[in-house]
Parts: sequence; structure tokens; C-alpha cells
Amino acid sequence: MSTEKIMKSLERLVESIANSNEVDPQKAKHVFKLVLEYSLRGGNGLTDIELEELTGYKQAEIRRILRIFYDAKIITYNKSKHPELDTVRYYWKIDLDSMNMTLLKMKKAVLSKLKQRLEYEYNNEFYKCPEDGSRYTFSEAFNQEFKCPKCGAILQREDNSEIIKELNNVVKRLEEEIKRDERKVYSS
Amino acid sequence: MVKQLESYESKALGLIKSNGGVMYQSELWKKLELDSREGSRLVQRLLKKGLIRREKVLVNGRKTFKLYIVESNSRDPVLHVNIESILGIPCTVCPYIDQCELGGFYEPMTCILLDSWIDKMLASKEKRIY
Repeated sequence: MSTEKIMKSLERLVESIANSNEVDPQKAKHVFKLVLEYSLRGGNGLTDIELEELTGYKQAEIRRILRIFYDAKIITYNKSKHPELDTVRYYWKIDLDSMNMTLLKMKKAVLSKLKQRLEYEYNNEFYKCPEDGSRYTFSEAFNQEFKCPKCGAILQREDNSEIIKELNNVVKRLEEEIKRDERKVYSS
Repeated sequence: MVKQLESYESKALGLIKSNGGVMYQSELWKKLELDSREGSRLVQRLLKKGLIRREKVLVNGRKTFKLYIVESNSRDPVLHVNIESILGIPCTVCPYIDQCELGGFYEPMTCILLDSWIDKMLASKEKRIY
């Protein structure tokens, strides 16, 4: 897999992070690109003030974007005193040395959630309301006397074998992919 | 104001580049018509961004700095892990993934986002969104 392709998927990740946090994806991509460029040059990082000057976006917007990137663990910062002013500044950068590990951890976290969901699907029997589509486990449906608590319709047993099959496929593929990634990361 | 700062940076880089990638700090200030305060601020900015590096030198008994251009793309990142396969899964960008556990406020068993992703996956089984 070429670095260029991975960079493009990183860009898509940035877009998705922005969308899920209700931030303008174009602005988020712009900020990410600038921080990435300076990190590639081996610089110490950029402050929110510098990013404001470079992009023309409001400082509050930039801080919010940096915050969501930081929460998603794709960006990091160095805290240090400004050389002229007696104030503490945050220099934001992308830690390229640990990027592989960060992305691997991200994949493992997603896999763990999918596995938990798969186990839940395996271990439970489900009932669904034919009217509003709400879903209940056997014990929940039993306690409601197999009637929908919202509309009173008789709950019907749901066949979740397709969900199990598809989830299982995704989990298996992801497990194999992670094994391959680990071999590459640890051998480099 | 914003444009001014940016244009000084690119002007300074252009001047150093045209001088063979190296220039005395004081010479740069003179060419840009900046006083020492403005000039040193500009140099600090370029240093911080990793666009230049500097070396202490003595010229006619006076201390100054020689500025060198740092070539762009001096680092080529080696990335091995492609996340393309998980981009469609809502957990990838979920801000609550670290708090999402069995019995927690957020849990993968009852997550609406995961439910709709599963529905989507089943609906487009042929297309294979994964």
C-alpha cells in the first residue's frame, strides 16, 4: 500500500471526523494539511494564532478543529513559552513517528466494538415491533408480555442470522488486516 | 495585516533561495527593509515553522546568524496502516469510543449509529460497503 493512498485515506478520515463533529470539512482539511506540511518539514509545529494568519479562519474555529483532531488522536502538541512574549503557547503538530501506531490502535478499537456487538447478537434472541421497528431482547420482550411498549403491537421474533454472518465477515477481514499491518509496522 | 506577514515570509524565503539557500540575517533584514525587531520576529517565525535553520557566526567582530533554507519534504513519512476499510464504520470517528462499553452510557449493543450502519450493510449486501 503506497503512502500516497494512505495519505488520501487520512484526508477522508479528517473529513469524516469533521462531519461527525459538525465542523466545516473543507476548513478541517485545510488546517490538517497545513499542520501536516509543517510536520513533514520537521518544524516544531504551528500555533492557533499562526494558523489563523495562514488560513484567515476565526481563532475559535481553529481551536475547535484542533480540539477534535486531538480527541481523535491524530494530532499532538508541544507546550512551550513564546520566545518574545511571556506567555505559554501550544505548538500543534502531527507526530509522524507514531502515526502508524495511532492508526493501528484506531483499527483495534473499532474491531473491539464490532466484536462486542457480534457477541451480543450471538448470545441473544431478538423481537421486533412490526409497526415502529423497535428491537428488544428476549428478556425485555418477555417482561413486556411480547407487546410493544410504545404502540402495543405484538412483537415478532427477528432472524438475526444475516446480521451475524455479515458482522462476522467484517470482523474476520479486519482481524486479518490488523495482523498484516502489525507485521509491517513491527518489522519496519 | 495577515497578507503582509505571509508575504514577508515568502519574500524572505525567496531571497534566501535566490542567494544559494544561505544568507546573513542582517543582510536579509536590510533587503526587506525591516528593523531588527521586525526582522528577528520574522526569523523566529520561519525557524518555528522549520522552514529555515540558523548558525551563529562572527562578521567583522560582530555576532550574527547565517540563515539556511530547510528543503521541503525533508521527511518522507513511511505509513503502513491504511484505514480505508474502517472509514465507513461509525465507531472510527465516534467521539465516545473510549467511553463505549458494556453497561456504559454508550454501548455497542444499543448504539443507533451502529444499528444504522448494520442496516445499510445488509441493504447493500451486493455492493459490499466494507
